[in-house]
Amino acid sequence: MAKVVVLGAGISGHTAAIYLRHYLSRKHQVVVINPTRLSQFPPSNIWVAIGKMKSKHVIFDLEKIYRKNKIEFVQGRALSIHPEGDGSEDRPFVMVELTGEDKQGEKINVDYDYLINATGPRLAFELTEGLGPDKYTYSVCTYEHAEQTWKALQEAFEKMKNGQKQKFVIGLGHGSATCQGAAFEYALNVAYEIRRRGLQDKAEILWLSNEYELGDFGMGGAFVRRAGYITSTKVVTEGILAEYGIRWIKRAGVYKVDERKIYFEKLDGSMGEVEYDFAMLIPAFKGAGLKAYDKNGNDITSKLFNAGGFMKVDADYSGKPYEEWKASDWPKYYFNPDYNNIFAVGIAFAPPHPISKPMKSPSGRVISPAPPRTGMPSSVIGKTVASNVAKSIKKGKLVLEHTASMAEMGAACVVSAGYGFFTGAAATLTVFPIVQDYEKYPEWGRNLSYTLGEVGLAGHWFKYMFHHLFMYIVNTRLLWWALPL
Amino acid sequence: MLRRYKDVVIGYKEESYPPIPTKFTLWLRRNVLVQLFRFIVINIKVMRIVIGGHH
Ligand SMILES: Cc1cc2nc3c(=O)[nH]c(=O)nc-3n(C[C@H](O)[C@H](O)[C@H](O)COP(=O)(O)OP(=O)(O)OC[C@H]3O[C@@H](n4cnc5c(N)ncnc54)[C@H](O)[C@@H]3O)c2cc1C
Repeated sequence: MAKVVVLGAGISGHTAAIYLRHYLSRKHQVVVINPTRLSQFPPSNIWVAIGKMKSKHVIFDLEKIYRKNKIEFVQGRALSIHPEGDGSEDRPFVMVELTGEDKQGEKINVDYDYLINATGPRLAFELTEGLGPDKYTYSVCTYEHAEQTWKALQEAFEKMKNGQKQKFVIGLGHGSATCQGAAFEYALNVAYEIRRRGLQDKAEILWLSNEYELGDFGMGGAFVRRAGYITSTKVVTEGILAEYGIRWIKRAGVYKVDERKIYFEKLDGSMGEVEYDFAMLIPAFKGAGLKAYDKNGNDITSKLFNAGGFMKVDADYSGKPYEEWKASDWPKYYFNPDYNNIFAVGIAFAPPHPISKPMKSPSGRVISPAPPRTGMPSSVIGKTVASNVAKSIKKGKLVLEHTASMAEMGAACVVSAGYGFFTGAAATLTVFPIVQDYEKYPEWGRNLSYTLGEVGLAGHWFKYMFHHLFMYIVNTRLLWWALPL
Repeated sequence: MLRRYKDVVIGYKEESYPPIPTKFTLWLRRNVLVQLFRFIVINIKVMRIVIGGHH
């Protein structure tokens, strides 16, 4: 009998857990540790933050799903990993602080044979002074943040209805922040809702980004076939912003926000500031901040995690320069090289380097996006690792049969740009692979026949369908495992 | 102020030269039959990506 412990029940962790349960017989234990009983589908938070969906539509009840599937659920936050056990315990274990109402603060050890770290990002608002929903800016990163943002947006609409002009600033709140797609999507939706209410003369919207060029999206941009040309996503993105009446500032690293202004440094070293009435800025992401100790109690955190708190896996971390980056630098199996029974999936794994070219201002401020690990790769990686772990358990030794390298898989980024069955729109961008492979695709780094960039109603339908498909799968409804993932 | 298309292309600014969709393009984006076809295309592309992503 083997015991697999999954830390975090977001997109990647929950996917890994339900597939593990599907692949493994009941004599093996699957345990999930997550600080909250409810988990969420973050891509649909955008719709919560414009009032088109309620939180209840984007959340799923872990306790209920796990009870149905015979997965053990521990409501708690993992604090440290002890891959060799400790003085009194031979087996590897995770120390967990319970967060459920009845046992809050209590600490327990959960032992494991295999561990999957899927703790996602920590939203590092504190890296930018004044940033975040507890300070001056709003966020869409969690459904609670999205609810708060929707409340503030309605107040802004009211002010505009009463004749007051409003300035909206939407984008990235740190020089190295990623998740451009989510912020971009929110900017388009806000513009759409303003226009739908006939308030456009009272609004000014600004897209504030750390990208070198718009459309970089943290993946070095992409090229799409369009109207007889191979066109950069820069052109496509600028076109969409212009169409929605949104101005932009790019190459900006935001370092401070106060109650009236947002302050940033540009890549060329110049300093700038913009006034705002409503700001939604995505923070930098860090790892969950787990610690690690060997059996003698020595701190081995730096052996398992990089400086940002992301877990090291089978990637090339030699830190080579941009010109020497290769597709093969990216991990395929997601196991830790020192402890082969520990895996990291989704945002929790440490990428070998960014995908966009790293850039710094003359003062040394990094102003270029960190690499995104969006929902689609996160769930594919979760499923692949679950499959390898299940095989390893069945064979009694580490079996790495399936791979899920971000340099060998594609992603679809469907940026909602208005809600409604006949009136909605979305910009659909598909790329293959996510990380450019110039050895395989010397011209563009990617396979253009998989790539697509277009705006239309179809994208909205796709996004809406995808939301329901995802909720169907995560709730493990009838024959969920037969659906594509 | 949210800009109209005519406001976008004036002025010698970095941000003054984006492509703007024609009326026909806008019509295509809203036409249910055209979009039904595009919906099928998007689904096929995404399916190829999902299936091709793990080995
Ligand atoms: C607004 C928004 C829109 C987005 N839109 C898209 C989109 O259109 N398409 C797309 O592909 N991607 C999109 N993304 C990105 C996508 O949501 C993420 O890539 C995905 O959620 C990453 O999955 P994950 O499992 O790594 O992390 P998460 O989903 O964040 O899950 C991490 C989990 O770990 C838990 N956790 C944290 N710390 C601990 C701990 N110490 N112990 C135990 N558990 C812990 C957290 O509570 C959480 O449940 C969007 C993201 C946002 C915020």
